[in-house]
Amino acid sequence: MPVPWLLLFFSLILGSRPWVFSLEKLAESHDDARCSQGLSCHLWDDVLCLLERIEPPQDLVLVPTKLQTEVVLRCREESNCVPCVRVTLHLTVQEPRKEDPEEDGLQEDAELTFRPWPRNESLQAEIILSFQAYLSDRCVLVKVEVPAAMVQPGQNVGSLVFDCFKAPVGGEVRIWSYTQPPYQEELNHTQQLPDCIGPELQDSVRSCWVLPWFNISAEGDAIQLVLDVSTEQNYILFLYWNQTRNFSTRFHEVLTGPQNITLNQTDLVPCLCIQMWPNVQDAIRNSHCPFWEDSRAHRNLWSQSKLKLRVWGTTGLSWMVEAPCPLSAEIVLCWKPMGSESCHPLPLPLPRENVTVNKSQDFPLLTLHPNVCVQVWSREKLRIQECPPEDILGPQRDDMLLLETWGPQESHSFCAMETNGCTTLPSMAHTRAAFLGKQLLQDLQSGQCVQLWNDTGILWACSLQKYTHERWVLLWLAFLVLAACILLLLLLNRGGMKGWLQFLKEDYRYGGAAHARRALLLYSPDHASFERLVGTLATALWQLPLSVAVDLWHRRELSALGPLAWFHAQRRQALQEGGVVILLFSPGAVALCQEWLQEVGAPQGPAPTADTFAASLSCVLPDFLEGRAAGCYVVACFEELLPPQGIPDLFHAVPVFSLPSQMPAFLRALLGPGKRRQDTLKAHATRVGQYLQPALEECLQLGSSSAL
Amino acid sequence: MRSGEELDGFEGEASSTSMISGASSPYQPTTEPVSQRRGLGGLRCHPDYLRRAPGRLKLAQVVLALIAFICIETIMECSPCEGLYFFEFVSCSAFVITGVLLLMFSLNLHTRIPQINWNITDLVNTGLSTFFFFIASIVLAALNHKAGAEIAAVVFGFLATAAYAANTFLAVQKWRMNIRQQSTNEYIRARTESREVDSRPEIQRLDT
Repeated sequence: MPVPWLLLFFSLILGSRPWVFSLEKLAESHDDARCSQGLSCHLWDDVLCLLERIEPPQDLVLVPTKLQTEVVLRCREESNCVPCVRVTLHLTVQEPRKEDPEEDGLQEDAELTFRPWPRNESLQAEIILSFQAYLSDRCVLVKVEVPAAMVQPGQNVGSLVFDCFKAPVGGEVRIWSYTQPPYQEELNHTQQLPDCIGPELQDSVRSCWVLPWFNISAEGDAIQLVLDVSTEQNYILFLYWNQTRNFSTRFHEVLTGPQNITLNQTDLVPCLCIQMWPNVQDAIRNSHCPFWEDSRAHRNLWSQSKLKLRVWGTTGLSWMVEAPCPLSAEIVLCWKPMGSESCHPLPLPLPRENVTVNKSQDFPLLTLHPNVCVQVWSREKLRIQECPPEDILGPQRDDMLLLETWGPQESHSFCAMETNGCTTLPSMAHTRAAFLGKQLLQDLQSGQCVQLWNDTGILWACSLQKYTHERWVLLWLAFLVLAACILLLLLLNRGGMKGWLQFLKEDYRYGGAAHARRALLLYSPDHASFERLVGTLATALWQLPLSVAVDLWHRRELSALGPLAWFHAQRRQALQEGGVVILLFSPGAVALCQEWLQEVGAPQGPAPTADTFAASLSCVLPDFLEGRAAGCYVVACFEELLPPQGIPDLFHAVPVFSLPSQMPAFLRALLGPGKRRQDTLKAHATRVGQYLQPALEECLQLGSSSAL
Repeated sequence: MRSGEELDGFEGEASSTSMISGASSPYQPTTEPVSQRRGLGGLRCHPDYLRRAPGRLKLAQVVLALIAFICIETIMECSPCEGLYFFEFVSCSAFVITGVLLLMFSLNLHTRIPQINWNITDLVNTGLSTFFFFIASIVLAALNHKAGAEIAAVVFGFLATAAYAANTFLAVQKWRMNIRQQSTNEYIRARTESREVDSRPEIQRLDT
């Protein structure tokens, strides 16, 4: 029996690591329990697994103290083995524990019943070993007897080895061990069995030989699976993502013979696992996850991961990381100053929470702030950064983050978070926070800052908007400069400005921006007061508007050109521009007219009046004689100087108005066709009449006594 | 009241008269210097305005106000900001308005609008600017942030106040002199008017 002992010794030292040495092969086909020297064991196979209530022992008892497992092979022939789990249990004699005197009043009784050792009896125990594997559970009972000579309280008396428990290739076995009745918590252990990929079982387990397997070849960007199987072998290839609770199938196909499968780039993540098995029922499956440390797979994983933030009202923030594989990462809160791209982790011992993929978790912030963002860190590198959505919390604000901590003896210390760390306030540095430090502290005391976090320290967010210099004055400057430019332009272009002012002054009631109608006023200058009257009338008519031409105002031109030429020119211009010629009759004019018209008969001598009216008459007479006068000529007379009937009949072909009684009609005729308003005409008429009144009176008074 | 198309000045009339009239007519063209048009729309620089004290003072005021404005604009943070805004407003407005007045006086543009009394305008402008610049500089000095730009702005503010104050003093003197002159002028005018009789009021005088 030394060989198994030696092997046992080695396996005890190295632990249950079957892949270090090749596995032991057992030839027996049935289970067996062996004890170390001196002890005697007896195995009862396949008992019921009953775990009773733990009762503290009253006497010395034998209890298992250490459970070890080992994988061995049970072989029918040399190359026809199955993996099997051997259990090694160390046994100790345990004294009854001295209980707390307050707990139980039976302490006295226990001591009384406790008999001192050594005694003359052997110690017996019933130990149950319970096995659990995929689709099989088993319990065995071993009765152990320790001779009286070997019983030493508190000492290890030996060990028990059980061979062995058959388990599936690549599976997991859980083993429990306890005494019956149990005196303490049961021992348990989990043993992972090797699979066909490793070297341990390859030579021994027959069913491993027929399994198909693959190789990975990475050529450039694409990764290929080279399936090296014999032709005509049917097998199933299964690619899946090994996520925490479930798996996500990427590829599941029945294939035949050797194949080259190219992996999809999006499928390549660290948890991508490959399983292959022959296309028979209940075949052993080989599975392997070769990409756990592949850098490209990790890059893919992070590019496919998303951090989703959800905001509930103003105080609730929950986040969820969606990723194809389970991640080992941490969630960190950070502060992102407005206008900056970098986000600094909050200067608080905030718990760095571990990321559970696809699970929504909350953040215990007091108030949400748009500048507080969430970062995901993995392996000392920032992977994902996400800020809360702008439409719920608003745009990022120009705020300063202050941290209030309590030092010894109730003293509060403040520091402001800046790009290069937390600046203690108040500070004499040249940073923005130091400059505004005092004001910010005042704001904090007066409650103008928002509390974000309240635990070991308090986080405050203070608004800096009222401390930033807003540039509204530049608008005012632009406005002033624009006004100054307009003023200077107007001054430089005076003519244009005058024309514009005149344009504004024109009476819009007469049909808009009409060019003033040209009017030529012809009269006979009987005497000075009549001339003044005519001048007044002409001035009054300017306001209508009418562009009145009267020889009184153009004396220089008159003298230069000569009256005849001038009157001709004026008449022609007036008629060409669609204007009107006003013939103002007075007694002198009538006399001259009579003389002219009667010239057919005998000439009577030169006219006593000035030649200007004669010249004017010579211009207009042909039009009247030929009957062309209508529409362009208007005849008027002051009724107090000359009654309308006094006007020769020739001139009655055109409208004759006696002023000032027929002033409105006269004005209407002067202004020509177009929409006129009754009331404005009347207003004009009254105004003109009022204007003419003094001159008319003077004319009537002075009469021909006034010199010319 | 002639139409706007008539020529300004005597140029047109003089040429037509000289060409056509051989006849002896009482209406002879008078001799008057014809205004030459030089530069934009009749602009002519009058450097003598800038040589005298008011012109130089105005130039100084414009420069000082501009520098004070620039100094205060370089400040990014302020606590409180109201004093800063007030100083900005005062210096900006003073700069633009005084600049406009300087331009108008140096180019003689103020003669084109005889309806406004330019002396009074100048006096009002300098007086108000003195007062507001003084108040703004004091307010800014009281804020006492010891920032370089603020101190510079305060200094230039006080300098501008001094320039405006000097200008106000000169303008007040000028105004007082004007008042005294006006009273004597009116007396002389009243006497001359009583002699001249305008027998033909309806004859419009030709515009110049």
